[in-house]
Amino acid sequence: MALMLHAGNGNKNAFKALIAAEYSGVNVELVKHSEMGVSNKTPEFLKMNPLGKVPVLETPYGPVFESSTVARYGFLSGTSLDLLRGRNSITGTLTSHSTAPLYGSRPIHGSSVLSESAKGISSNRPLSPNLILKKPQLSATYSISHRIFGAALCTAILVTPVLMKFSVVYDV
Amino acid sequence: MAEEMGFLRRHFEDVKEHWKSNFAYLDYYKKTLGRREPLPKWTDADVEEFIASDPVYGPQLKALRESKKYGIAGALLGAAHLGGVSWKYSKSPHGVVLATGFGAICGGFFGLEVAEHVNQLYKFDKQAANLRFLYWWEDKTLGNKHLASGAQQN
Repeated sequence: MALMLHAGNGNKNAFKALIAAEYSGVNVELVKHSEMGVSNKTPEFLKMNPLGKVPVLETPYGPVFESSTVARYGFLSGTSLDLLRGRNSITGTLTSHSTAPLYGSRPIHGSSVLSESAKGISSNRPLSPNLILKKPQLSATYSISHRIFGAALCTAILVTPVLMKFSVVYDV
Repeated sequence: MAEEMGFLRRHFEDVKEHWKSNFAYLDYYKKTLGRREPLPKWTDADVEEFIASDPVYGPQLKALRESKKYGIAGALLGAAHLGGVSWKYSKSPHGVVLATGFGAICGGFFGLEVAEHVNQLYKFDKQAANLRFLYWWEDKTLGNKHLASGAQQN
């Protein structure tokens, strides 16, 4: 499966993207029959890039335009692109058979519909609060034992007169 | 010099007596909780017997026993009221349970306060009344044991 790059044949800015794709081992293809001045004025194209400029790369996360951006981010694995879009997961649709390490790559998973938090777990992002990794510290232990003791003390103080009032009548 | 020592010693003994009387309430716990073996359990009939026998503390204990139902009534009212309110406004089951419990405590407390004024419990030392019964019961049960063992020896 290849990512589609919308640009005319021989477009120098498209070469930037294509070179980056070659280096990162991503399968990218130029769309056929892209005509300057015509294909980039259609409503479908403008939906992708409102500026109406080429090259535009179609990625699973949405279109990426501006040639340098395409070169820099268009072919990376989920990481930076997700940073770009505020998400943190990747799917396997970038390259289904690539064995070359992608730039800033992470293990590629099969694409599926996941919630944001589930995606975070699958991409080994450290969760917060990170109880698994956080070293148990003496100050934290003191702090919680202090709180527990305070709660017990308050309970004892509040409960004692209540118990005394009841016990005086109900003991005998 | 000897007079001063005498004076100081007397003062010191007075201070000790004062503090002993301050902590007199601990006797109650020594008699109830601080025993090596617990006293045999008494019944209502035993309490009635004490009430009839003791002219000073009997009526006090009688008034205390009458206050029990005020406490229970108050607890039921409080539990029903607060539990009902919490059920009406929040359907959370654990919230209703906790609210009912707290209502019972507060209602019971208030009911006992009402009893204190209706039966005039504020006029006497309630803990002392209970303690007097315990003294009487202790003499009765442990005294019997002494008598029984003495009879065996004889």
